[in-house]
Amino acid sequence: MADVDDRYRTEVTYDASVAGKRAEADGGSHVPGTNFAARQSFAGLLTGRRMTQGDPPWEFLEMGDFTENPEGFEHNVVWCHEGDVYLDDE
Amino acid sequence: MQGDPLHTRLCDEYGCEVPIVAFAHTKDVIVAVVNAGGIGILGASGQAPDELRSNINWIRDRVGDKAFGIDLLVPASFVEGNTEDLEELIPQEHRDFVEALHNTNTIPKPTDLEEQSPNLIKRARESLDVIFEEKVPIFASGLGSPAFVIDEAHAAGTKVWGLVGLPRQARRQVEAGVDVIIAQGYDSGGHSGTVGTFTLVPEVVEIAEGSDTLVLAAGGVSNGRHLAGALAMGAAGIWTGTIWLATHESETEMFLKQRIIDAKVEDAVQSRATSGKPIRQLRSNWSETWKQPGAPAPLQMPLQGMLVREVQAGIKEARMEDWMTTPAGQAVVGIHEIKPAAEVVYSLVEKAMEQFDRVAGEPVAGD
Repeated sequence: MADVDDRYRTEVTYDASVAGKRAEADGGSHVPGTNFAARQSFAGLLTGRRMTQGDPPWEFLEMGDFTENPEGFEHNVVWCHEGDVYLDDE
Repeated sequence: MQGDPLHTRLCDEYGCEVPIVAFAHTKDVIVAVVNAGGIGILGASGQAPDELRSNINWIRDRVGDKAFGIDLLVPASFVEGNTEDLEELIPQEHRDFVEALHNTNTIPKPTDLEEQSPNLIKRARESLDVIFEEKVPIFASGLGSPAFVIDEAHAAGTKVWGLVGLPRQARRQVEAGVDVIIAQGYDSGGHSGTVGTFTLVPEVVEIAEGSDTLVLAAGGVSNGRHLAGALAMGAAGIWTGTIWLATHESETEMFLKQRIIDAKVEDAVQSRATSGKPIRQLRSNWSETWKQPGAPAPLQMPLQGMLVREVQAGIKEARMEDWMTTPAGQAVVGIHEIKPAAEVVYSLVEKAMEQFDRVAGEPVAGD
């Protein structure tokens, strides 16, 4: 098992193998300060930025150029858990 | 019991007597359900690691080696940015609306605003570490796919469960080797998906067929008819949340328990007012005020949560009952009295057996 620092370290790298690929993502998160969570759906292009947290690695892919995002979503990009990202050519 | 339709693979694999899983935020409910023969899963998102460890040990002291679990809402997506940058995205119209809510309804400013966890994924990882260190029998992921920790969990002796709202999520999790999939339909409380339970469950059962993954049915489950129906659809058991809110053991406020008992199915409303995304909850002044003419449309996550954090804290601190709510599903319609959690378990079992007997035209399980 990795040491404590490694387990909480976050690293952002560039992953050419997914860059520019069209994908959908089933996102969402806990709502801080409540017992609630909320789901969010996205579709767009993966930018190629990959965030890896800890060991075992927890992988997130950055998505932008949205063709679908939650109504009123104000952001240009979102980090999506790789396990909940579905590439269009899958 | 041979031929007992309520003795499913869930019972074989987890040692429970009946295929009933209770999700609750109150640890006393978890203990009561486990000791009545079911499985209890404590919703622990938001708990600090020390508090989580303490709760795990508290439960274990009271249930021994019987199966229980911890549910975490591991994030499936998040927006990067510091709070100041995000605050700038909140329109003035919305700020004015919230300020008017304070003034016209005499909602006080809170004296104590809880510190927010600065990093959702770091907090989730810390909580996972506690679960594995304490060798909790079950880790349930209430949102994102738990595939990334399956090997680590199994090495610790922890089974991994995942909650899904779409068939494709189930397919991904079956392929990853998740032990149990909770197929949660639209009628459930909190972050329900868009697919109804009656459609989703058989679909997920088919996806899991031939694998070692079991399926639980969730969403709208309030009595034994649902339990019998879930098993008939191929599920190995039921995952229930709302029906535990009005039990004696639940820490839900008494006035909310009474509102749950009084609620009709249409009082379990979906509202975007708390987080920006639809969350099924008990109807309240809070959910209704955002639907009034002239109210702005709720913002998206995470902005809506940031916008309303203070006013919600004020409501809670001042105990403004008409404005307070709880996540609750359409199962409210099946809750008619406050009773001990064990009685809820026994009632589910009794009613389910009646249904099986009725369908078979004779008793289906002997003594």
